[in-house]
Amino acid sequence: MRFIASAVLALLATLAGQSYGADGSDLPSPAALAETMMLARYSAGFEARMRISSVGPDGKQSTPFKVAVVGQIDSQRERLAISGISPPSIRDHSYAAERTADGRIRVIEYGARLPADLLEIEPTTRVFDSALVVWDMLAPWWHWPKQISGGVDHVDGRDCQNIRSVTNAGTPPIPEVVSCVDAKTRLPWRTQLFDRQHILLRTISTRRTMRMESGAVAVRRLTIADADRTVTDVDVYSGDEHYAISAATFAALDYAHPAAGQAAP
Amino acid sequence: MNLFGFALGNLYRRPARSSLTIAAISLGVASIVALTSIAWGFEASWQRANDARGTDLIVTRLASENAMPSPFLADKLQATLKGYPHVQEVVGLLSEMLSVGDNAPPVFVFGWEYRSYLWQHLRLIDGHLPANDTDADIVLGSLAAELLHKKVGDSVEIEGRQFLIRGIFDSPAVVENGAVVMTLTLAQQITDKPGKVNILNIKLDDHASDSVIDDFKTRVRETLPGYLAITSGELVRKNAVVRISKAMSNATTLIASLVGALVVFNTMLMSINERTREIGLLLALGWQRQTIVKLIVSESVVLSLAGGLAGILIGIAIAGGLEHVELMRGKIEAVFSMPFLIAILGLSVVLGVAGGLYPALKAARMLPSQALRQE
Repeated sequence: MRFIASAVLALLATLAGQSYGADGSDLPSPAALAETMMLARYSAGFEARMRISSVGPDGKQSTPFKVAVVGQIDSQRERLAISGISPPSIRDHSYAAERTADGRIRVIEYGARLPADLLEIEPTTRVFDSALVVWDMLAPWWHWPKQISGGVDHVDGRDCQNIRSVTNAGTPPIPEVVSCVDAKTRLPWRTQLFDRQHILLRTISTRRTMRMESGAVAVRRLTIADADRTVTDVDVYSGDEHYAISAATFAALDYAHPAAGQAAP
Repeated sequence: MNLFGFALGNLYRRPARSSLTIAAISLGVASIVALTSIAWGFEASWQRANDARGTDLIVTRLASENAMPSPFLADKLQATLKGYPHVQEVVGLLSEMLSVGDNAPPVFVFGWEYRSYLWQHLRLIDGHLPANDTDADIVLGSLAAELLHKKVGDSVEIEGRQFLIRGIFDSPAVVENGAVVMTLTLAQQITDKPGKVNILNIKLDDHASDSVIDDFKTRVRETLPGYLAITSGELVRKNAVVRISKAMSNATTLIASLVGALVVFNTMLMSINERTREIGLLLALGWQRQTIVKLIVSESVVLSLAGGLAGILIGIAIAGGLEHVELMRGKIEAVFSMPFLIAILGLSVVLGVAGGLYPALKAARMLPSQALRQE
């Protein structure tokens, strides 16, 4: 019953789950909390439909667009498919992403004609040029071995526990993430992503939540504030906690070769 | 001049204070009336929508607290339910709140099984119902057509797909008048929920009694884990939006009542302090203490009654106005019941008595000799 919580969690990297205990007094260690956050994302299949709108640093609003995000996350695989709904210019454009066995995030961009319109792209690619980043949506930092407690913090008047996730393995696009997690609901009220020079790249903040059929609390609306002061609102307007994954859902991942820029059946 | 006339005269002597007190009470009462009527209207509208469709029972997911229950696969469940005694039809319904076009506010989009009984209660104003199950045709409620500035033959974009408007209808339920209706198959396609519905509508035959309905509910509870059979009224009462709006209206009633009583209390206490010499004179002239109490309480009751009456009128106007605000049209409907309005007026009188009682007793306890010495 953690499906939608995991859905929105995985998809927005700011997720929901069930409570630790009735009073929440026994705060887990950062590693344990990170593991719980990871487990909470497990889902046999979910779909979330989102309306995304951005306001640039000059105050100019870009054309809002809608996407559907389908996900399947368990101990064996973590994969997402992101499809444009509207406007028509993004209608036949999609992304598929997965976490590979070596912990890398692999992202495929494709069009209506598979496998012809298929290209492996950088995991930090922004979804339809918005602030929504495919890499963030899979929240790979919960898998990193180094999780450090950052103490208790308050975000928008809500208590949360800071966890600093750090990795040096390979060349991850983001080596450091600081999440302020509500230990009771396991919602990250704020997620900050830093580069190697510890420069803040973007902040993901939970604005509104919703209670799902399972009873879990999930993110309904979040804001992504970019370093360049672009602010993007992501509003989940529809969803399905029990989405039936079909063979076609992640076909793009099966078609694509791991090597960038290559396509094959 | 009788006592009531005397009380009215006292209020008339201080028009600014009396008017402000009446205004404060009326605002509190208006908020109670507006919020409560909208909460009731929301419940009544959904109830009417379900009743108008002719649905006897609804089968849905057990734990759902959302505005619409979570979607579930209907096929097997539908087949099982069709085998239950007295069941005439089992019809799936899928509903979503979606934006139609670029700048329009979201509206309810209903997907109903093609040619099922759900369509029969719609009164077509113009055009036709969808001609088949899969063509991209929809019908609009009259309010939705007005809001979206659309007519038969126009097209609208829903979830990235273009739909032709085949007809415009009127329904007994405002929630349907503000909605887009398409076939279930189309709704499932555009929301990527193949085979899924929010609820299953059960239509029983004419021989079904209350005990049949109870048996149906028990059977679903015992044999279909995770599902629940309820009447449309029960579904509406379980609806989170209905429960929240009712809770808000109850909280408003409580707060407005406390504020109203305090306003009357403050006004009458100030009035007593200013009129100490006058009250002392009345007592010296032989007025009984009981008469002084009656006078002060009468003044406070007149104030709260006037505030209550004004508040009811303002509340009705606010709720009626909100119904016509672009963002709310087709989504809310105010329902006023005469017993409720009379009860609100009664509440105003109680507030007047409660707020005026202590000042009245204080005035009645004065000694004429002391009161007359007061500057």
